Amino acid sequence: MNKEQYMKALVEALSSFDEEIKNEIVSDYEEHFDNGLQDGKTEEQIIAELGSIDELVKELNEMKNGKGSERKTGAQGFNFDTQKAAETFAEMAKNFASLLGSMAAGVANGAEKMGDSMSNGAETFAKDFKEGFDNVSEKVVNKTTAFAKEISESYKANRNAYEEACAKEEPAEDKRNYDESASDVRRIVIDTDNGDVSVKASEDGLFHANYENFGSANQQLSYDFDVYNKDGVQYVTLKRKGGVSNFFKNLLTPKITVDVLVPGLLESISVSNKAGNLYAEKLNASKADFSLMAGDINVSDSECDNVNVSAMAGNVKLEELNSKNLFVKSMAGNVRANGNFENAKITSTAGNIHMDAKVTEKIVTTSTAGNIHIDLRECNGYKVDFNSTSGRGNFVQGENRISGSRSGVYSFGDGSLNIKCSAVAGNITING
Amino acid sequence: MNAQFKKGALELCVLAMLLDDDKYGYELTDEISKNLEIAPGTLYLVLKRLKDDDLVTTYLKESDNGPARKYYHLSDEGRTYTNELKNEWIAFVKAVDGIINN
Repeated sequence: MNKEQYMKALVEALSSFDEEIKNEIVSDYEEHFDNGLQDGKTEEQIIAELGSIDELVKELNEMKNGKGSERKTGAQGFNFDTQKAAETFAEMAKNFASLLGSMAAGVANGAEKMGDSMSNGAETFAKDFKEGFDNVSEKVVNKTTAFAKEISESYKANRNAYEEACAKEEPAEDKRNYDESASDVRRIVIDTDNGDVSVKASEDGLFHANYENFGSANQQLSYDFDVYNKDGVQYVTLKRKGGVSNFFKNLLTPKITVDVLVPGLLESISVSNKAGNLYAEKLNASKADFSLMAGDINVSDSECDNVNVSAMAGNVKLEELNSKNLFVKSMAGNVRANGNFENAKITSTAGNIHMDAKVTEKIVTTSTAGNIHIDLRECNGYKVDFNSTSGRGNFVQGENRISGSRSGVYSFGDGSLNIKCSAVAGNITING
Repeated sequence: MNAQFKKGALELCVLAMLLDDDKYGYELTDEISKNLEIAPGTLYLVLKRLKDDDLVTTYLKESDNGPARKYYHLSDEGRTYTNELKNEWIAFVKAVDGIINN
């Protein structure tokens, strides 16, 4: 085909469109040919590049029918069909969940095929693992579908509000401080949707909360920050208002910091954050709960009798924490726990577990896909009960060393510390 | 690739190329289609849509060696929109990168 034939076919294919559209496209294409030829290309090359006329007509029809051309103001960003994006998202989650399911089934089959006497334990474990995964998969699908629906609905409902907000002028930097007298504050709850949260002991023994949002005007308007006292509990909350933005903006988040300074001695502190990191330092509390969805948890130089840590997608790092009962649960991140504990229970689905601690009573660690490594400080001996489906156990205490087996119970020294470890795919190492 | 997503990305490519100076259709489409395997035809439609939405304006200018060329110019509204889109895109890619690279 040469240029003349191609252009003739183009004019014909565009005959059903408005004269204006037709003329514009034809002249664009004429100009493209002229420039391409000047550039040293042949007519055939240019035709091949320009692509199929049918495809062009198809896209032109989509455009005419309003698809992908809903942009009214500049601020709306990408023209996502939110409903569609939400559906795609839910579909992706379903595929992901079924992938998890088949992975788990694979592990279960592998364990069944092992066939030796040791495989009984592994089989049960793998079955539990599969069941756990199936439950999770179902939950992921349900949650995501609900989430997708929520995005879609809130988007529609608040679109006008958002456009109004866009029209307003940029406000000054959103920065707020709160101070309370110390005697009231013994119990603290921090609940945030977003941002980096830092909690540490204040120098003046009083309570302070500082909030800073570094986002654009619209992003600042999208958040409600609140500090209040109710029934003797000091609350610090940061909530994202529903749907004041489009799909893209729901994924994007401004930089936000929430710094809380707390009195020296607390009854309880609870921090939950959906997206962002947590830094806790020099805390002294009877009870501490830290729960994050997507962010790292860092706790250092703290004394807390009962500590409960839960992380979905981030790492957990506990540095010099003294605690009677430590409970850590992580899905996808690594766990590092250093300090002094009486009882420590650490579970991780996909991350490694590394402990470097003095423990007096008991350690229970479980990891599905990661390694478990425990360095014991001031240890006179331990008794370990362990099993791993495909990893190995390596145990050292003083001069004694046992390595290479998949399961068993071994005692070293005075055997006073009880350790229970199980892993599916990882190795288990203990240095006492 | 999701069609809506691709359209958004193409729009950004075209707009971003106009931030520094005005360009004619062939310059824009040749550069983008070389890198992204997109038919110039599609890009002319993107340009048309941007023009219909008043994000770009066009004018004709004589060339040294050949017929006049249609130049595309970013309107004030288009400039604001482009910068916003650019920031959104960068933040989005960063977020995705962070997740897939763990």
